[in-house]
Amino acid sequence: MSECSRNLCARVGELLLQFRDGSLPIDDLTFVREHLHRCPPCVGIFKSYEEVVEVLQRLQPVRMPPGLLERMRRKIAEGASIEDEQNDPDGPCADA
Amino acid sequence: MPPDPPIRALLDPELLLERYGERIYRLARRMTNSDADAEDAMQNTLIKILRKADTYRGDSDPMGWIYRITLNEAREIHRRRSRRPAVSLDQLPIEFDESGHALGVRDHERRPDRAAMATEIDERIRAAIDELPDGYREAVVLHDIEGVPYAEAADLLELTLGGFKTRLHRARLHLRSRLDALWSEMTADGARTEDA
Repeated sequence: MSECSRNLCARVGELLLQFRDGSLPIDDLTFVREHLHRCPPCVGIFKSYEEVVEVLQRLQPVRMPPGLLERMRRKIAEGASIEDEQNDPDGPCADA
Repeated sequence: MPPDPPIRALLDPELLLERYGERIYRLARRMTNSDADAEDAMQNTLIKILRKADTYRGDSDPMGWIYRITLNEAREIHRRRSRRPAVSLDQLPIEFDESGHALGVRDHERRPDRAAMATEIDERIRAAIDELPDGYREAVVLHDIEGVPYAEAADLLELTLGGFKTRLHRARLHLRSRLDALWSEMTADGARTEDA
């Protein structure tokens, strides 16, 4: 722990994404591994970082509410008719 | 018979709903964290796609184009209806004690039973995603939830790969701090129950 410093921990914090996805250059990889070896708080941060990604990947699925597609069909038709009205030269917005 | 060109599904409301409706709704729902807002964003997206279909220049899967329109519509509605300002992620969301050690780390061996708290975790994470600034929320939803690869998601958000990863990383760290707070609450509740 005595070898930790705010700067080192912060630097590791910045590299966690690349450490996790395996895209760190070798020097940084060695630095992070060595730091994690002697810094339990950073190990905790890394574990909870992993946990967040896991939680995000396992969020309950979104399901379409009942009747949604039917409502969309209707709204699309209404949307189209509004546009048609605006483009209609004889419509309410036509020049007198 | 040759397959339908992608543009056909962008011009025909029925095909559009059948092929892409669910994915549009899912992305809009994740982005807005509200059934009503997701429905409005979906409606705007569908109408925009149908109106702009003839400007689509791609010759393959138009999902990227559709995602971009959905993100814009969802972002617009979320901005208009958001009750709270987004959290600031200018600083790396890791806190340190006076001696320079990282804070906010709980004991992983003693964490509460996650399976039993799935609904609560789900709600907390959704709320935490909702308070992220637009670009950060979009990064998490696209990559971590919808599984869009880095490069594609960066392209959708018009970011460099490095810029995209920075946003995603900061968003994850913010969510981590919210999840950690939930664990601390649960641990404290458990301790109180044991003391009683």
